[in-house]
Amino acid sequence: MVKAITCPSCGGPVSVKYSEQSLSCVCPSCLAILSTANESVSILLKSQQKKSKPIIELGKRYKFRGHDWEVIGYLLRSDKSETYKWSEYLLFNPYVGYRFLVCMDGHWSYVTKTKSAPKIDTVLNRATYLDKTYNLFHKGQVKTLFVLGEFYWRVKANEVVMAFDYINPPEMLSSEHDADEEIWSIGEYIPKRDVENAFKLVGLMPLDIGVAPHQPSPHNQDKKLATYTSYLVALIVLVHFGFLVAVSRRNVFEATYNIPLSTSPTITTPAFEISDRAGYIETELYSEVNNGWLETTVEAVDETTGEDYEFDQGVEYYSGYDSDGSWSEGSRNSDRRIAKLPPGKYHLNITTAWSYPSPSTFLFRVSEGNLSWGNFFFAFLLLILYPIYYFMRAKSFEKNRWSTSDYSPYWSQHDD
Amino acid sequence: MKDFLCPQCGAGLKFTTSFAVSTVCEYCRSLVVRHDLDIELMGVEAILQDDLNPLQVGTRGVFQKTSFIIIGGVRLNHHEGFWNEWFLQFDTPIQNSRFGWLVQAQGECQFLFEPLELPADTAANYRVGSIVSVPEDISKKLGKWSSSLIGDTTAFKIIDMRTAKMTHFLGQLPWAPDKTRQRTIAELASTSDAKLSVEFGESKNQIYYGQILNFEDFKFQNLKEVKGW
Repeated sequence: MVKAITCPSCGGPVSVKYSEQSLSCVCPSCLAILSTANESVSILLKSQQKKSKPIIELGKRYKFRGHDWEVIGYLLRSDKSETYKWSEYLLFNPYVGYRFLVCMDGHWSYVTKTKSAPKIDTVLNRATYLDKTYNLFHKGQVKTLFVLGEFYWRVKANEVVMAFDYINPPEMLSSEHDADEEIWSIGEYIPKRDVENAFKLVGLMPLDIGVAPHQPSPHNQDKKLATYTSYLVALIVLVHFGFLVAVSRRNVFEATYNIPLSTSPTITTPAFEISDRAGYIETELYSEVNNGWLETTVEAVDETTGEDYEFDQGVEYYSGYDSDGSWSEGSRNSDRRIAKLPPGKYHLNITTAWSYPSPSTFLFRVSEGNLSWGNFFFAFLLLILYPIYYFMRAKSFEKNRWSTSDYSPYWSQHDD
Repeated sequence: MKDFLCPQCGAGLKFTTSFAVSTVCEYCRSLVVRHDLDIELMGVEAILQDDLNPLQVGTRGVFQKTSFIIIGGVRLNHHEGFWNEWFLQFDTPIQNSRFGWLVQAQGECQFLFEPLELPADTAANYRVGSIVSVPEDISKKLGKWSSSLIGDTTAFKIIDMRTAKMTHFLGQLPWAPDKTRQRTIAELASTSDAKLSVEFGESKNQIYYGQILNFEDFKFQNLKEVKGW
C-alpha cells in the first residue's frame, strides 16, 4: 500500500511505496531521513548531502536469480576514514523477502541475511557457517554516508558499526555489530556480466579494480587439469618404479683386457647368455685414455645360429690447461644401448684401434634388463611443468587477493 | 466441536480446534474468547492493512513433509518495527505436537514448534550478548530432528532482544488476546540453520525452536495475491 506523507522537514510530498514493511524512507526533495514506522512520521536525520548517484534506478524491477526484485533502497557506505566507499542496493520481493546487491570497486555481490549466527574461532580468525569455514579478511568500522529510498529498518545514517568480513571464495560472510544487535549476512560474488544483463547496466558498469576479497580464482577452472596432470605424473613414477622392480638389471658379461699391440688384433670373449627378460641390452666400455681415443668394433655372435650383430663403440678423453684454467673434453666411459638381441648364447669378437700412446687396458661390460630413464625423465618433466605453472599462478592470485588484508596467510602484517 | 455464535452479529464462529481459545468473527470482526461453554466479546478488531503479505488465515504449507494450515495470526509491534506470528495447525502431529508457529520478520520465515518450558527468570537479567542456559536434556526434549541441529550445546548467546505489544489479531489463537501485554522475546544464536528464541513470561519462560526456511521451501498454497506482483 502506497502511503503518501508530507515531509516534516521540507513539507514536500513523500510516497512510501511499501509502507506495510518499510520503517524508514528518504524524502526525495530534501533528502531528510524519515521514520515511518508509526502513524506519526518523525525525522531521523534532518538533512543529507547528496554524495553519490545510484547507477541502478530505484523503483524499477529486475529479474535476477529466478525472482523479480524491486530496487527500493540505496546506501553509500565507507570505512571509517571515508577513503574506501561502496554502494549497496536493497532489493525487495513480497514473497521472497529482502536481498542486497553490493558494488565494491566494480566487483558485485548478492547478499542475504544468514539463517543463524556463524560460529567464531577467535584464535584462528575463522567463522563456520553451515559446515563451511571462512577466513577473516577484514575487520573495521563501517559508516553509512548517504541513503535513498525506503528500508525495512530504521536507517542510521552517519552511525558507525563494527564490521567483520570472512571469506571462502566465491562467498563472503560478514557481520555488523552495534549496541543492540549483531547482523550476519552472506554474500556471493557475482560475475559483472550477470549484473550488467540483469540490471540493464550496459555502458554504466564501473570498472572493476584489483581483486575482490571473495572473487573466485580465475585459475579454478585449470585446477582440475592440474590435478589430473599431477595424478598422471604420480602414475608414471609408479609405473616406472614398477618396471624397475619387475625388470631387474643384470650383468651378463664383464671383463678387462690388455690392449693387444699387434695390428688389427681381435679379442674373442668367453660365451655368455642373453635371456628373454624385458628391458634393453647395454654395453659399456671403459678405458684410461688420456688425450687420445680408443675405438672398438664389436661383433656379437650367436653361437647356435652363427648370426652376428656388429656395432662400434669408443671412448675419447682430452684434458689440458690454458689461460682459463684446466679443461677437459670427452669421457673415458661410454654406454651404448643396443637393439634387443634374440635370447641365446653369444660371444663377442672385439677389434680395437687407438691413438698413440695407447691405453694399457679396457673394460667391457654387457648388461640386460635396463630401463630407459631418459624417457621417464622426459615425460616426468614435461608433465610436471603444468601443475607447477598452475600452482605458481594460483598462488600469485591468492597473494594478490590477500594483499589488502591484515590477515593474509602469505605474510605477517608487520613485514612492511 | 460445539458451535458458537458471535455474540455481536449472530454469525457462526469458527473454532476448528479445541486448542483455540479465541477467534475473530469473519463477518463483524468481533474478537471472541471462549471460556469452556461461555464466550466473551472482547471488542471489535481493526482490519490489518498488510497488502504486501502473501500469507493469510487459510494458507497451507509444508514443513519436513508435514502439512499445516494457518488458522490464526498476530502482529507484534515494537519501537523499531514489527513481526507477524502465524498460528499453525498440523495435519499430522510432529513430535506429539499438533500446533506450531510461523514467524515472519524482516522478510524471513521461521517455522517454530510448540515451545518448551524453561526455568523462570526475569528478562531484566538478560541483554544482547547474555548467555541463556538451557537444561542439559533440552536436546532430548527437543526431539531427534532439532537436536541434530543444535548439537550438545546448552548455552546460547542472545543476538537480539525485543519487547513488543500485540496490535492485531487474526483468526483463531491459543490464548485470549491482550493488547496491553508486553512480550519480551530474545533470539538465540545457534550455529546451524536452527532457530531458537526465548520468550520471557511472568511465571515461566518458554523456548521456541525450529528452522528458518526460504519462502519457497514451504510450498505455500492459498496465498493472498499481492497486487502488482
